[in-house]
Amino acid sequence: MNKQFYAMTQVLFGSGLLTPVIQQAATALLSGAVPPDWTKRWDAGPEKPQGWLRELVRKRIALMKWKSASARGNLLAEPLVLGDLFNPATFVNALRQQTARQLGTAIDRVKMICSWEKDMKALKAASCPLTCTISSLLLQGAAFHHTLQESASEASELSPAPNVSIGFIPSSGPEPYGRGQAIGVPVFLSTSREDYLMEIQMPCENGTKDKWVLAGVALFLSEAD
Amino acid sequence: MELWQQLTSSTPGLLNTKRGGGASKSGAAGARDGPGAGGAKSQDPIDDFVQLENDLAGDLITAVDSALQALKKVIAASFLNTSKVL
Repeated sequence: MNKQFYAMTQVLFGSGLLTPVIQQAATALLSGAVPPDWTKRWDAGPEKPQGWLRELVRKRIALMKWKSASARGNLLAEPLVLGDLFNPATFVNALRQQTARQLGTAIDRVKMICSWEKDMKALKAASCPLTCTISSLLLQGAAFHHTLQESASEASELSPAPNVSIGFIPSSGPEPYGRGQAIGVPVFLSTSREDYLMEIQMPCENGTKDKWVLAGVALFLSEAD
Repeated sequence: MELWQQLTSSTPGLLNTKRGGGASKSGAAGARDGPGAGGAKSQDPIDDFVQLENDLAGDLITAVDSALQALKKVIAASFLNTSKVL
């Protein structure tokens, strides 16, 4: 009897109709893919649906914290994880725009500089009005201890990079690192190297620039799934 | 669907679709109307960006939730009306 009541409940409460949209989503999920309707809105996520959903919820929770910090006015006071964002490039542009506004100059008359020191010496010396510390970057092709160094042979392919502070100063401002003392390292959204974000200067020993270019040194916001 | 249920029930307010809630620090002082934002808009590009990014996350999570709820209903409805049930 219990079985029959359960069956009736399922029929009575099963009020959903199968539309083409639902069918498309179901087909994609059953074949282990993210439905196209979802990837249309966010295509940079993991390929498997479980990973995609987990990452979506993780970003949503992180962004709720970003919003609270922004409302309190102390968003830039703490290190930020750019991997929390759907559009990290837009955030960097917003930082550029806000800095240009504070400097009273055109947005294309400012350049990005960075500092790998905890005290942000280079940014302070350049009188950078707005700074943002980025955490949780991953480094590939080298190790980093104040300068780029060879990775240990047993080290994993990716190593966590220390926090780096970025900011914008007028284009005519001084470069924090001398010629040959730093290399421009690309930052990508994930280890697939498909989406380029920006270039960050990383200090290196004099005359070793070519070595690091050949090693394919790069920074990433997150690992590809 | 069970995974989604677990993920969304762990944090309250995750599916809250209220857009542009809460003015930002500069928005409270000098809010102005602007296109594309559902709520208070500040004069601060970074605060505006965070607001829009948060709205995007909210919209996306709501769309996914609606799709999965619809799918759940269809699965429930797929149970056949047999002569035994009648």
